[in-house]
Amino acid sequence: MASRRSNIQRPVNLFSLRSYLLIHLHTFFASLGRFSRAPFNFMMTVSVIAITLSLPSGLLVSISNLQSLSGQIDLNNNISLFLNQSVSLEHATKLTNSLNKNEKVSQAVLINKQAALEEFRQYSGFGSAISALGSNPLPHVIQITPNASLNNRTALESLVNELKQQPDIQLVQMDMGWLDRLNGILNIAQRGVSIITILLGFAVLLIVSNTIRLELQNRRDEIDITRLIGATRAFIMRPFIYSGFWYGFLGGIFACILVNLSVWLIDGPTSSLSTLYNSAFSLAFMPLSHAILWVLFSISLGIIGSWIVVSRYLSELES
Amino acid sequence: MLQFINVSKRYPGGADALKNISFELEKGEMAFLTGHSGAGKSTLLKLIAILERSTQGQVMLDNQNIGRISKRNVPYARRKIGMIFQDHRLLHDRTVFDNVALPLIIAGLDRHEIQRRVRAALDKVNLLGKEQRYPITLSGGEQQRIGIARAVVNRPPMILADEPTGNLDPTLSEEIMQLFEQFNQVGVTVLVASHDISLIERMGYRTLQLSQGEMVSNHG
Repeated sequence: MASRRSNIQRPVNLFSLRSYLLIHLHTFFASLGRFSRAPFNFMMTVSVIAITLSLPSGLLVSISNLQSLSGQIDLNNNISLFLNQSVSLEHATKLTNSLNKNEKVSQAVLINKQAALEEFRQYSGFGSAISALGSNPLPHVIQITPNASLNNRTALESLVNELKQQPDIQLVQMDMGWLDRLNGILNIAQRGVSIITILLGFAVLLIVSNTIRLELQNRRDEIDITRLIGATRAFIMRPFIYSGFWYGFLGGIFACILVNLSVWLIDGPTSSLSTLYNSAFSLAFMPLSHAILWVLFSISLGIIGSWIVVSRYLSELES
Repeated sequence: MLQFINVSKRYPGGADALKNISFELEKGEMAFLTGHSGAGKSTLLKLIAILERSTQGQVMLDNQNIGRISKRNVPYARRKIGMIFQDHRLLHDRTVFDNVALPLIIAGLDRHEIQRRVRAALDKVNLLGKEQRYPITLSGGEQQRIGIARAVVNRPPMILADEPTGNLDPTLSEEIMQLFEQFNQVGVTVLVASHDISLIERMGYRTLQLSQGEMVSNHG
């Protein structure tokens, strides 16, 4: 038995690598050639993949943008001190100067209540309503930037408690709570995006599988004939795997283009909104490393999808 | 070259398609396989092409038991046989050249070698100059000759033809048969399945006759 098996001619010679590469090169161009004959169908599948993948990748870009926004706020972790209404400007200035000498404070800035009212009148659009009030309802506010050494919550909270002891200060407000909440929400969103990515990844797998299945049916004769004249399983599978590769590759690239196009479209209004908040924030595009990962993800889905369908199909045929 | 030893084939849930068939084709021999439809001709051919496996007995091709080889090795065993079909089984979206080149592409030959061998094969079947045509633009006889060129381009030791003249008129059939004789003369083993009794008799080669799954005559 063993000796009989050994006389099977296998291309195990010096040229086998060369011929292997030749076969690959041949199928590579052949698969592209087939697409060029039915470009509409091809582009339709690519578009479906691109749109499907642009949803999770777009969400991920939005989340990382929101995170960088919250990061910016985190950096200048300001504490606002609202003074009592009765405190005079001189007293407030004195207090500000003493705070500036405090080693836990890197900077303290006084916001004059008169100036604050003017600013509010200008930007809020309630100008006439404010005029109707007669007296200024705003207190003086001192804005404190804590020393960089106070980089953890407990240190910051001890500063806040210290400030609360001051009789002239009515309210100490540190905007940490909503930041924590935002980060919490972003974490949930990230988890959600992971789930959506898995689900839509399956969707892409199914899209590719279905497309390749149709292609298999269209090329049934060709498969039968090549099998009869001695094509190996790998030879028959190769063009379909290449098709899967192209679907995934182009689908992934178009998905990245779609996401970045959307970012570009939204960036204009976002920038003008953020200037209203005196911020130079603008949306970040998808980083190249992420784009490469998405394309690789898409390619693997394309290859796996076509591999599953073709190998199942061939297994059914084999005797 | 080809040897059947007590081969039986039973399809699941069906009757015996082949019953205890034994015969041998020597290297370089030419023979006909005949019988009415349903006699088991196509089953016998399927066993040689490894599209089916025998239920009992051994099918030996080139000293190899092809009924028992692994799926992995089936394609390599098939490359020893040049197969020709009644319906030609050509790829209609490819040129004559590409159709004939297919076995060589599968074998992974380089472009120059492919070009050389395809032209040689087309020369043998008298189709040189029609490489860039599409099969559909050629006549039935020419299409069958493309099929023959494809079967011999890889220089297999054996040719297996299933009703190669089934759709052709007598003159064209004669031409096709002469082609087979030419290949046989250079040492290729040829087995032709046909029910064209008059043609078979005129040719005067050994004839294997099947009837209801049994070999009823086997003479030269």
